[in-house]
Amino acid sequence: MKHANPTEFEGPRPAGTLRTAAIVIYATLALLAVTIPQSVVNWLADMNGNPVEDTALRGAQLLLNLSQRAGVATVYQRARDIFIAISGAEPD
Amino acid sequence: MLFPTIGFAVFFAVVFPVTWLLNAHNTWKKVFLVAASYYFYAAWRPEFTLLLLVSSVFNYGAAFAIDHFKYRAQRLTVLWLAVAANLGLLGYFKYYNFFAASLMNAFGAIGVKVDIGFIEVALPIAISFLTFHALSYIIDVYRRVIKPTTSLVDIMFYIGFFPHLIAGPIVRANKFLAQTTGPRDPANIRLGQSVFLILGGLFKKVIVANYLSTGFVDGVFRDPTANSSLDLIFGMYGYALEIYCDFSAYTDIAIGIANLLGYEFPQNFNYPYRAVSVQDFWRRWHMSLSSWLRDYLYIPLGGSKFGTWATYRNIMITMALGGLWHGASWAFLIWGSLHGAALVIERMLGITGDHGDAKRGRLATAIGWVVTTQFVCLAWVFFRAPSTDAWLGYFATMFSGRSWSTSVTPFVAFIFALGALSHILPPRWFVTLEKRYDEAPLAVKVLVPFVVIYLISVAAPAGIAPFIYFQF
Amino acid sequence: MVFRSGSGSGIGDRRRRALAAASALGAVCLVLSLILPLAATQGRAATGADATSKIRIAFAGDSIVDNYWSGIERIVDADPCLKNTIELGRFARNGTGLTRGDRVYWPREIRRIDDDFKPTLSVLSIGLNDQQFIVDGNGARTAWGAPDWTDKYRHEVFEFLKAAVATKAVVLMVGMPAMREARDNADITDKNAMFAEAIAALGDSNLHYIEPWRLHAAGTETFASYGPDKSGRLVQIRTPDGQHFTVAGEDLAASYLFPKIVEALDVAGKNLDQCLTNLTKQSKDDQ
Repeated sequence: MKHANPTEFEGPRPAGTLRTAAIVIYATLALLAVTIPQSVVNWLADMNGNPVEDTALRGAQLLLNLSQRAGVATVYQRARDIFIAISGAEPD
Repeated sequence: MLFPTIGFAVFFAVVFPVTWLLNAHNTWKKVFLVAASYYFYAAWRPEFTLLLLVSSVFNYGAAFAIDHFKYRAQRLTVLWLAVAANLGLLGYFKYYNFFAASLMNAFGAIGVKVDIGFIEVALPIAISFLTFHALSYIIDVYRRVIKPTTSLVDIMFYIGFFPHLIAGPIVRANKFLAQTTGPRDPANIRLGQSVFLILGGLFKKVIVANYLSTGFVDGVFRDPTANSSLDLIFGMYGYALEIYCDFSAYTDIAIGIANLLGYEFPQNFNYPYRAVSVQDFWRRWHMSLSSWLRDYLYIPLGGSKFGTWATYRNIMITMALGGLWHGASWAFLIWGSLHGAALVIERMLGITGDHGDAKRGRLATAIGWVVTTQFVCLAWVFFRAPSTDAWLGYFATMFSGRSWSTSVTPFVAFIFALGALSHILPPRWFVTLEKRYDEAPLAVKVLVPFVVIYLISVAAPAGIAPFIYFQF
Repeated sequence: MVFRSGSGSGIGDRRRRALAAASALGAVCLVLSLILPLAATQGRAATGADATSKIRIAFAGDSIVDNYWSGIERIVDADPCLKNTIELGRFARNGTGLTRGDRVYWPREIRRIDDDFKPTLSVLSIGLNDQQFIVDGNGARTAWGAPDWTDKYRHEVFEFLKAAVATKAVVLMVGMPAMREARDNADITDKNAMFAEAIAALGDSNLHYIEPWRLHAAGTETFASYGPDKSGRLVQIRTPDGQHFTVAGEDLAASYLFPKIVEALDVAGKNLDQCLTNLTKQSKDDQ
């Protein structure tokens, strides 16, 4: 069974730096947290609860409130409602 | 801890900076990554981490034992003992009940009642993958491809590194251990490629695989005889797309994540449904497994060195066991054997085929593609159908021409089309995309993953099913 | 849809031809996605009988009840008369339970199912995912293992069953089967007892507790991942997670449940005598 050898890795290419990679990762996560804060609240609410998690949950709920007041979180919810209506997918 | 979850995102958000902060202190970095990997594995069941530890310690010691002896016979004896121990562990957790039931059924068929008893233990997740990693290490030491590492941390890191731990790709010991000897160069981070691997993987898993599965394929396979012939045909193709998108998604994300941490994993998929022969298919599908089987099973069996019939035998054994590796059932054994038989037939007919085979004409290549894809898709029915009765019923109903109505909705058809696109869009488009991304301003570099993940979240199903290959 | 830039096809001409073929395939798929609505029919829609006269059976709860639905669906689909007479409703919500009303509040879900589906009979199973803290209607948390956890859970059980009873459907609350892990098994044993006590206390003639499916006819039931199928062959009947049923296991559980469903419908004046097959009769005889 002759093979192209997948054990050989491709050589390195011109790439982003570590700093760029870090900015991309954290900025993306931050933007997602601000625009879809309910998911963060749900995730934290699933935890058993200790002072740290409870503090984080309160912070997430504050973020959710701010995001909703700014109309940002509602964009996501409306988009999701539209998608569920079009696709027939199971609602949340 | 599944990749497409907030929990994993938070986990990675911690692991990434700590890894690079410790980069100059390589040993501490590896200790940290081992701890993080054990934490990752413990998210399923904490007690499973004991298996990871035992396997690492045992194989670390076995490698020294193998290397200690001067004579080949001694080294081989120790190797066989170590291989037996690794496979024994796998057999105990994964195959004992299957073989016990098969034996009792066999005796029962001739009227002899035998009660062997079953073992009721939890199947540790990823046991097949970690066993193959362990075997790769000790066999490479035996073959003197590598020296046994003096660092237990290195072996724990190799076997347990979280991106590949659960569902591959199967990384060779010599390739990975060579990356653990010193700090990693952050200039080797291929940001564009890693980002698109991760985003593409999320899309394939969360959208394509999940909706194909819940929206159509699961229903068809749940009760095949209640479906129309057309739906069974669509179900077969649907599962082919589903398993490809599900599995390749996992390894794409694993490769991207590993690269962001400074480590290289091998490619695992290369447009498998473009294959023009079954040989070509196995150069494109789960490449790390097929190469592992070639190097550690097929070649030790003799490969193609001992004549035609021995070659055919070795192919059949390799592919049958490769099928059985996936799961403890006759269906997987049949699936692997079918592929083995197809490979043997291709050899008999002198078909070596891939797209680069200049001897083949255009028509032959096209025919080869049609025959290969249809064979592969038909064989997937064995992989997916839960029992002998189920796949017999599936094929009987599919070929009966009973009804040509369909329950495929426009949304499911759209998902089919998206899945098919995964094989239509040429690789060079993605190379161009990645290059453009790497050259883009920082704001664009942030916006692209944000928008894609945002849209995936809008369209995601309510819950994320585990990856298919987690069960293997 | 993104890959490490693999070697692809390797030769320019052949690559272009492969791309052309693949593009044609893609075009076909996209066209199909537009024209398929013309051919689409509901795969499992019953023919003939007026939908409103059908016996509607809802399956509601967690993923275990989904196993029951799957097995019963195969029984119904295999018999044209049953398929014409019964409509099954799949309302399982995997991963849910009675503890997390902040996620899915099952008493409200039961009312919604009743409004939308109007079941004649409901098969319920829940509790698998309830080894965790309780969040009540006011958002207050009761930690798992807290002294008042059991009382709070019992209250949720009552609310759930009262909502089911209020629908006027016949309700079968099925106990959870034996689990592999000792902790899970002890938990479901306690919960099954709670459900049985609650049903007895409510005393509604439409509400029935159904003993969990057992592999072993007598003695203490223990978890078994393998068991005999209908032909007596040993097959895997429980999944590797030690909780759910495989397809073969679903068929065994459904063979056990279906006669209970038939009997309950009979008592409620909705008998299926005209559809009962030898298989069903044999299952009743086996009881």
